[in-house]
Amino acid sequence: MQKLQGIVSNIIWLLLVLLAFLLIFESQVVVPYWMQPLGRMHPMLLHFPIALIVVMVLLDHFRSHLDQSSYEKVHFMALNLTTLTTALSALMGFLLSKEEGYTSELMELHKWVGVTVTYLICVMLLVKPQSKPYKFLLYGSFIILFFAGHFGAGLTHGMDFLMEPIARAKPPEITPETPVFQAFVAPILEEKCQGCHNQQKHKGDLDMTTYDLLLEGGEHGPVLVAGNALESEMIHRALLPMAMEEHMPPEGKPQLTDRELELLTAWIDAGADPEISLSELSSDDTLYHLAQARLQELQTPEATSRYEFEFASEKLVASLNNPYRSVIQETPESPALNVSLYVRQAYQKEYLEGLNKIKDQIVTLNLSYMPVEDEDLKLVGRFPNLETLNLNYTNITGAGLEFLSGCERLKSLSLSGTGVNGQIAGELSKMESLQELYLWNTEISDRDMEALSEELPQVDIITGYLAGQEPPLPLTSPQLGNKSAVLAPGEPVVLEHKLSGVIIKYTTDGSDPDSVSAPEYTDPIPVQGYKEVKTVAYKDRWLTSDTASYMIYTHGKTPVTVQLEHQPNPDYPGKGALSLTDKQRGMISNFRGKEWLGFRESAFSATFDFGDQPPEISQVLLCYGLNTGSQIMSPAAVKIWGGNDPDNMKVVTEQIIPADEKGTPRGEKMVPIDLGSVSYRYYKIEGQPLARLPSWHNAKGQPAWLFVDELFFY
Amino acid sequence: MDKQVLENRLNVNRRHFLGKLGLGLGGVALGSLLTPGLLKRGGVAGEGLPLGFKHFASKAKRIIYLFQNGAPSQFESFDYKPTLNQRFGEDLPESIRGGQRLTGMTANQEKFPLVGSRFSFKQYGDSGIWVSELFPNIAGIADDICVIKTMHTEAINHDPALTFMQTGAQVGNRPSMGAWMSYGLGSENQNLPAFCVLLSRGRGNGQGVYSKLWTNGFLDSVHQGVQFSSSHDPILYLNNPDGMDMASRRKMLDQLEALNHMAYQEFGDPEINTRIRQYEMAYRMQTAVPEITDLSKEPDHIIKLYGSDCLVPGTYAANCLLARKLSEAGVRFVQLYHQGWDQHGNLVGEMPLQAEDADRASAALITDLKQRGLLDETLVIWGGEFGRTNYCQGKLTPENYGRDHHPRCFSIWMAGGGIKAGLSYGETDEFGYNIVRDPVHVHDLHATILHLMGFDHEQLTFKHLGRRFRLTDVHGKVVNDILA
Repeated sequence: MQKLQGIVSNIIWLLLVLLAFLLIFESQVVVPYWMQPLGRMHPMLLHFPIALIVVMVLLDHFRSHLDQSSYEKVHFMALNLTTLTTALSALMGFLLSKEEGYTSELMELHKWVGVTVTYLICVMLLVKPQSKPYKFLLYGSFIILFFAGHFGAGLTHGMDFLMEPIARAKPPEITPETPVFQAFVAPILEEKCQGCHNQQKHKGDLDMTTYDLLLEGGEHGPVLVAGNALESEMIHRALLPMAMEEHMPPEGKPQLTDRELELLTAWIDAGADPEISLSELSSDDTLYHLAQARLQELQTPEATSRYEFEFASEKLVASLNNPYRSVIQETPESPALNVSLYVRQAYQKEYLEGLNKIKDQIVTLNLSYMPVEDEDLKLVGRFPNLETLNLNYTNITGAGLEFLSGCERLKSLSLSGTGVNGQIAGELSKMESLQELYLWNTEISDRDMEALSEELPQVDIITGYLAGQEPPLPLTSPQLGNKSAVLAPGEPVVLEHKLSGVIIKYTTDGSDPDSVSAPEYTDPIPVQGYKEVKTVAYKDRWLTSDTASYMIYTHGKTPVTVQLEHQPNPDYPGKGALSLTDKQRGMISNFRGKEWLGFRESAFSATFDFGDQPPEISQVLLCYGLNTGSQIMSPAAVKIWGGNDPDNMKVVTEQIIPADEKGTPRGEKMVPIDLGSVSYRYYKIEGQPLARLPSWHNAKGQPAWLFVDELFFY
Repeated sequence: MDKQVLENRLNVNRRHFLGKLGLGLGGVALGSLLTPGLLKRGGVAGEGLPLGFKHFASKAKRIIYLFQNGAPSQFESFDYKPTLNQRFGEDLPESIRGGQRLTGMTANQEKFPLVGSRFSFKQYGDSGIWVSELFPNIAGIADDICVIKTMHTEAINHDPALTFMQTGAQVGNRPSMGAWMSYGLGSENQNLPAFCVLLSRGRGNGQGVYSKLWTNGFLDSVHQGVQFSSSHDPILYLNNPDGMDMASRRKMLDQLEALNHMAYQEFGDPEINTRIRQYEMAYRMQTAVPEITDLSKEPDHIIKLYGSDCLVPGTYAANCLLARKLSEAGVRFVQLYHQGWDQHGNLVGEMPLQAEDADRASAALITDLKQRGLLDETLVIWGGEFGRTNYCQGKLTPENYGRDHHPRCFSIWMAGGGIKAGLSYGETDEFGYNIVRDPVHVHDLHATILHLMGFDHEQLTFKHLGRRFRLTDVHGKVVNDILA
């Protein structure tokens, strides 16, 4: 006996600590699905403590009629059983409360009363029987248990369950013959208005509980003008802005939904007839449609969206996830799984095959862009609960749709961008549950599409945006496909256009390419020296693009060393002399970049050494940037010296550069300077920044900047 | 029996105490099995749901936010106010302004002359939503969108207003909306970042965008937005450099992972693991991204739908098309910023250009999502950071005017997952200055967006500096009336 008592008290102690712990960390508790049956035993087990506490009370009353030792034995057993079953029921109740749908004030009340009584009963184990505290605890918990039980029953059966048979009869079933007022209007008033406007509590002297009382109105007169909803005070007030005092229902109380308000309005507009029923209304009446929709809502059981299949194990779901296949359980309460495959190149058939382990749980499946064939749909057909299937841009042709007959709940099917044609109508018409069908960009002809929509009247067919609806649009210009405008040795010029079927025309002589005489681009264009490539795109039923111009450079001849005579401004040092021959052009929008050397106080001046065997050079390209807004201008003049002795060079040529005009757009420029044909070892090249900004400039008179990024020698 | 009872009481000794203590710990241990998140660092402390789960089932799975940076004027887009045309040039009554704080740009103006739209309005679709002539394509999808005319915010200048719109706070240290989604829902496609950012610049007066707008704030750095480049390669440095093939890249990454793993063993810094994961994702992105940017599967008329600009990387149209492709590939949150809506002056000159760029591609995105069956599960949001004033900034002429910043009301639209289509929600007064019905605060918008994605905005929190932070701070009410 003593041993048993030890074990029982240990178990009770364990349960109490566990319960306390769970209550403290309640917000983080996650009840695994396999534990849910334990929670659901709460409604069964709870009857034990209720009965046992009654036994305890009876025992206490009839103590004098029992002999001491048998009383003690019975009491001992009863007390232990009571405490044990109480603690167990409380714990199970807690688990049950974590299931969906148990969050209400009543739930909280039941929980805390239950917890209180549990701990009270368990304290009884510690006090001496028949002592004053014992009696206090016994009767106290007896009374509290009554309330706990009552609240609990309220949770399962509804709070008015007890008095329901007396209070009122169950609402009769609603049919099209039921008066609209009784079926649809009165329930709205009851739910949203009668809380304050009833017999006991008639705010504003208004009672809305019956039709007659409603017509009577309140202290401000009638609230309902039959046939004119907007003149009716009750509708008027509902339409007032929330911030106004007069708005009804008052702020903070449950508001009328748009639907409810529409229905009330339509009923009043239709004459506020208390007897008229749905079947008597004509089908072009607003009220008819609103009431009909409401009726349908009431008749569809909420349960339709609930799933009846089992949860897949967490482990299984985790094992099926990989970077190219995501299996996602949407909410913790729902066993439905959403599956998507990603990255066409990484697709393997086994990704689809592997899903057979969760065939019951897959509700949406996204295979778009995967190289899935008709044959593979056999695998998909094994998913009985599939509702949404996305096959956009897969390789299917429609022949495999017959395999989907196993997907009896398929609601939405996307076939956009596939090769399906008009013949799919037969298979699709067998899919009874189908509601949405996406057929944009398929092989289905207009006529077949019409036939299809006749054959599938219940299906919403989305054909999307069709070609040829728009006036022609201008094409974009062809783009340079090379990585850089400075070509590597031997690299030809590549022109691109992202749109297929575009004809690219080009010129390399500076003239504008036209559709007739300019050559068509087919293969990359080899170039020598530097070239301006002008190009334009043509396509049927599109407007011709703007002409794009690309300046192309080749490496040319490269000096052995370069020396700067003056250092650039310390704010724009670039990579020093290295920048000048690194075969990279900068972007002037980023003039702080490593490609650019900036000069203002001193001129740009550098000496280029071509070594012992200088090549023949006929042309020098000085590349610079222009951004008038940032006072970065073209050089005023360029002067070139040549010679084989660095200390004794003579002027080869000098060129004055025309001044920039107002509004010249920014860009990367260059000036070619002809040398005739010379082969000196050394060249000194000087570029003079503009001394004064021109009069049109808003900083006129100040010295301008010269930004140099590269020199080419051809 | 008495003896037993007595003994029982005497037995309460040290052994008994330790025994009970052990059992008690057992109870705690059992309990901890049911509270998996309890001892995890960071985590959803106190929220009771593991990350990666929605709080409830919802329709929207992904978001595309078409942010119109600079604040497009509601008067030339969706909020039709003929009164302003009738009262052209009259001073804004003080009773309407009601002490509203003004920006430094118009605070010193002597008069606030009212000015109506130079552009005409019409009602479109079965829903009869008012749209100005500047947005003919958006007018064409009027029955697919829900226009909210009564957005309001707290800031009056771009940076705080933008930051507020994106992070729920005007100061910039909170996670961006996209980072919260990534944190709450995780990634759908592990081969792409869950939060992508695309920038474009229109032809109007622009305002800056900064990387703080797509920051992860105090969340794990994997949730940060990844900014795509507007060049030919949307993601820089993703391609292998010359001379490196996939096999050697794989080998290099394996070695690097081994090294990183050693570092993790030594220091235990979780950011090292984050880094390993990011390297792996970047490797997978090398195959995933070319499939995203490949336009060869797009039929010609898709290009026409979005406008041929969509072939030029970095344009708004190209970004809309890219956003659709990213979203289609499971990216949770695609954030676009389109600059150039800040028409303080020359509104009549600039706004048509700006609208021309934004109108076609925005509408195209909705049409395109719809025809692929994706609009139901994608939430698209279009709008700026605040509204513009009903009075003219600077010189008012019959031909031209400008508008200053206005926080008390502005218009945005939403479409797709869970949104009631063809609805015009809320109403401003006849001056278009104050809200008269159904105001929607920025916090309310955030709460609604989170709701549409399946989150209770009060439950999606992160504990930081001893406080649980939310996107909606301590505010926000779900706008139930715009939910389908």
